[in-house]
Amino acid sequence: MGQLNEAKKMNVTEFADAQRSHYTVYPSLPKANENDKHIPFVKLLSGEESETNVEKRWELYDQLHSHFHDQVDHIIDNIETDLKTEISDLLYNETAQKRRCFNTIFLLGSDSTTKIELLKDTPSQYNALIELTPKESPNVRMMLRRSMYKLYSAADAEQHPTIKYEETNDEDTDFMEQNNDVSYDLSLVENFRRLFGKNLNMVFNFKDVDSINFHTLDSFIILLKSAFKYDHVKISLIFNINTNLSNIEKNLRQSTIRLLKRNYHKLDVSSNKGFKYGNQIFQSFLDTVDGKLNLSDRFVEFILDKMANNTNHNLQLLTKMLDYSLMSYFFQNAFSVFIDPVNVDFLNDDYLRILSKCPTFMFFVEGLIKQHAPADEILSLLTNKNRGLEEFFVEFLVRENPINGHAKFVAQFLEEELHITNFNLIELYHNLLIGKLDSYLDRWPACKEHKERLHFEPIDTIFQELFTLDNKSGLLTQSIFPSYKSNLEDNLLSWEQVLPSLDGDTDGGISESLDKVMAPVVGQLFKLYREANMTINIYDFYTAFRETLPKEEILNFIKKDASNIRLQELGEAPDAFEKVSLILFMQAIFAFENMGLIKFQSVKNYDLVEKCVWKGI
Amino acid sequence: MNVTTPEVAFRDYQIKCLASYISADPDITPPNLILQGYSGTGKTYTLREYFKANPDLHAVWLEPVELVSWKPLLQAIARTVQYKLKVLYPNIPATDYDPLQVEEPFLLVKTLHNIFAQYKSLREKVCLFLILDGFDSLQDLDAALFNKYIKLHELLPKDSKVDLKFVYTMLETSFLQRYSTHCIPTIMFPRYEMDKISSILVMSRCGELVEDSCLRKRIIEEQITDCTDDQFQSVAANFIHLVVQAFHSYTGNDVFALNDLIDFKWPDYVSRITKENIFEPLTLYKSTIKLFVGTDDDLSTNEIAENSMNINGDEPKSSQTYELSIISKYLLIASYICSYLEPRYDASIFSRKTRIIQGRAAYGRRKKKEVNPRYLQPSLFAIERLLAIFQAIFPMEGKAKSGSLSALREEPLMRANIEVFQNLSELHTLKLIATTMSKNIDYLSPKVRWKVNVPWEIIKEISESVQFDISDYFSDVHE
Repeated sequence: MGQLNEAKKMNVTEFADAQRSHYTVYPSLPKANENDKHIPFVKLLSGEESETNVEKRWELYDQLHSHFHDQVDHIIDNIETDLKTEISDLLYNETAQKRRCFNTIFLLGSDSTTKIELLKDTPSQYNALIELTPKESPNVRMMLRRSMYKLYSAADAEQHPTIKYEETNDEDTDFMEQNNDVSYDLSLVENFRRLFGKNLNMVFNFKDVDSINFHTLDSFIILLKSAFKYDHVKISLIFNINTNLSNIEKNLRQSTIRLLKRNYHKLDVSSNKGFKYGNQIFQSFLDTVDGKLNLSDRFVEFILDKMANNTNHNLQLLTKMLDYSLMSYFFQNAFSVFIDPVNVDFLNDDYLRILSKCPTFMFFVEGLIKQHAPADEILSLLTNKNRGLEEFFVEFLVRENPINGHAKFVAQFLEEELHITNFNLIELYHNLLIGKLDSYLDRWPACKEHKERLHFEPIDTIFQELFTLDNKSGLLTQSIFPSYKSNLEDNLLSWEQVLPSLDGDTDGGISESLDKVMAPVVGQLFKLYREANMTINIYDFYTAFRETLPKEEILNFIKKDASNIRLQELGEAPDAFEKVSLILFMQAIFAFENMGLIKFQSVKNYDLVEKCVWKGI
Repeated sequence: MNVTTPEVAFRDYQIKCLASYISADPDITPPNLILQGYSGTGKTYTLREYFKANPDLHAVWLEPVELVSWKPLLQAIARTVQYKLKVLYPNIPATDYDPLQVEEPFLLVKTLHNIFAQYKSLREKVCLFLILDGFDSLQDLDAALFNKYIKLHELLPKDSKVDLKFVYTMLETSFLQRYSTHCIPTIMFPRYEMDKISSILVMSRCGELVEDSCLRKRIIEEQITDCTDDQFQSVAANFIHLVVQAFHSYTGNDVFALNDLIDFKWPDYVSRITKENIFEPLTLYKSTIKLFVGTDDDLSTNEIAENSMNINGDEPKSSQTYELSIISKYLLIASYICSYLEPRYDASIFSRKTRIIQGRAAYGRRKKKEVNPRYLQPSLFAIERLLAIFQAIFPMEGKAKSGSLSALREEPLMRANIEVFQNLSELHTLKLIATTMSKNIDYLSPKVRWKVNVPWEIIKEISESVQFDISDYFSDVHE
């Protein structure tokens, strides 16, 4: 019986699965062999790179990556603690307490996850934190009852620690039945002193304020106002706002705003505030790669651009971009192994060939020629005779990068001597790279006096392109910020780029000739789709599609495939081609609809389809 | 009539009325009494003064606004009445009735029956006044509720020694007018006039302002020694008069608003007091004139000051911490255009190739609508249209010189990459853009229709912040 039930259950889920419009498929990754460490890096130098070098490269990357992430984690942990102390400073700043008004804190750019830490209760004072989410605040009555219930159960649990309160479901509104002697309204606050013998300091934490009905919120604040009558009550309000203050201001009543204004603080908790943490992360990245890697100006500009476009998760984005750049650098650059100068032993002809083609190196050689340097010296550099080039390269490996050092110096100088903290280190670094540091620093008048000390002239070091993080191929742009609809279009048009090539292995045999002359059906249809007008008559679309199909090959293919009897039967029919092309057309059309490329104009009329993609959007 | 009438400024008539309606004799006191007057007309104050002056009248105060809805109000009535009687007559043994049992009006009647029955031994009848202060500020007020209260006395036992009398204060005349046929005695509290407001504020606030610590500090700083208390009083009174005169057109006769403004501006005002101008109101006024130009009762006052500093420093970027990103701003502008401009104009407005379509449709005669579309609901649009308009209005500045090779690499138009969609979903969670469906949205499905959820004023602000002149697009359509 049980088995039967189980079988039935299975069928239900399968049925539900079958009803879904789309599926998410996770490709099963080949299991890493646990005995030998699997390295996701491939051999570079057209496959000539030695096994050990790949391993070394991987190790180096691993080292830098984990070092960087340790620091990032540390910084992010600090953000939390910084914030908590800041909030409790504001909450318990006794000097700022004014008579009979709320102590209001607006947490701007907050995602409502900030935990509020309260002071320890004293014998004379009870601190209560009451958190209200939009779901818990449909109307004033519920807000009041919920908050009073929270207050009572917390205070009561403290007094009678033995009585365990069952976790009440939030949907369950019948608190009353549990405790018959309390009514959950302001009379609880009024009688708090009588019940618990303590003064009450309530902190209301309104989460996601923008989603609470403002009228309700307004009435609730006015309601709380009447608790000021009681001398033993102090109320603080914390608003988690993720829009801006003027939005709050526009939606609450002016009298309420005036009430809140009497004692309020603003705190920007979005972690990008004042560039402080972004600077710290960037600094730690520079420290990580210091003496090893350079950052190109294009790359830094890219970071700046993308961070400006994303206001909410700036730090995560920054870390992600730096991470990715580091990874892609180690993945694709064979020279990355020499970041650890010990590995120079592995330098061989494969590397040197590329080395001698480096633009900065060629520029240097050109300079030598112009200066009429001895010919055999130049030749030994170019051909690595007597290991000339090798030694030259090694010499440059250990060169310090002056840019990182100077950036650090300027940042320190600004912070410690001029007490400027609102600078963006990434922007500063970018200006440093393009040699415009002076004009960047002009923003702060205090810098003018120290211009000489802060001045910096960017210089090129030889072989720097081998040790530079860059975004020159647009790899970062494409992988972190794909424009997926145009990617989709591109792939549909030039499907050869994404599908496995036909030249390599020819295993199937039967479909091969067909594949050679015909694109995948969706690709085939997309070519027509591109040329069509906004609305397409579906019959015209079909006829056009049929005309473009290679008739002979398709018919051949149907006849050849012996495995499928039905297909064979179809092949016998006189209108076989029409049937097949209609099937393919239907397939493609519904695929298009699912991709969001077309839509049917109405439910009743299937004559026309409407395009819903503008080119490149 | 053995009641005393207290002195309440400008409320002599109302006090007299109270005295004639509220007395210790239950037989000549009406069961219901209404005090009507808008917020800040002194209803509560007058009533409190009256009961203070007559300590032999027993009153129970309740504020319906605190109790939110009718059920807690019923319970509170039972609770407070029971408590008050216990306090009044501690010698009479009384059993406690659980006020939380009162879940319906008839249960209140029952409970009151039981409570009053215990006080039968009293020698003479007493009035117990139940004051519901601000009855119409109850959250779930409906028309039937008040009827239950005004008829409650008819259900209570006639022979009871304790006679419950209701006194209501109300804000709205419109609420009151529904019950005009019941002929309940009503005392009106008209709004104060401006000169009365001034003198009331001077009476109530002067002492407090003079006592304020910031004034003390300033006096010590400025070493003002030859100043009597009366002179300080006149400084404060003068300040109050100034506030009332300056902001009366903004606040009207709202005492609370004026009180707030006095509180906000007093420290600033005091900080301008010097030894020289303390006796010269005119020079003091001149030096503090900025205070009286604006109300400054918004939360972002400091911010504006910061911003203006930034403008001086030519650095508007650094303060953009929690603002929207540029992409979001343009998306919002585009969605506003989508919602308020008809799609048939799109080709003529946004296309760089003019005259794709022949005839009138191309230039689209744009007639001013009879109703300004801004007053109407935003119309729905498909996301593709939003993205197309977004692409058309988003400025792409090429960094490379035109004609150079690197210019070829740059894209001429904004592409909708993942960032755009990120920003779009951010706007949606911020509820600046709304969709027709609210649950389980497949954002990219063509079936989902979108609309902008932001008024013109904010859009204008946003477009100004990116130097985009959105009003151009609406010049013919809107006013």
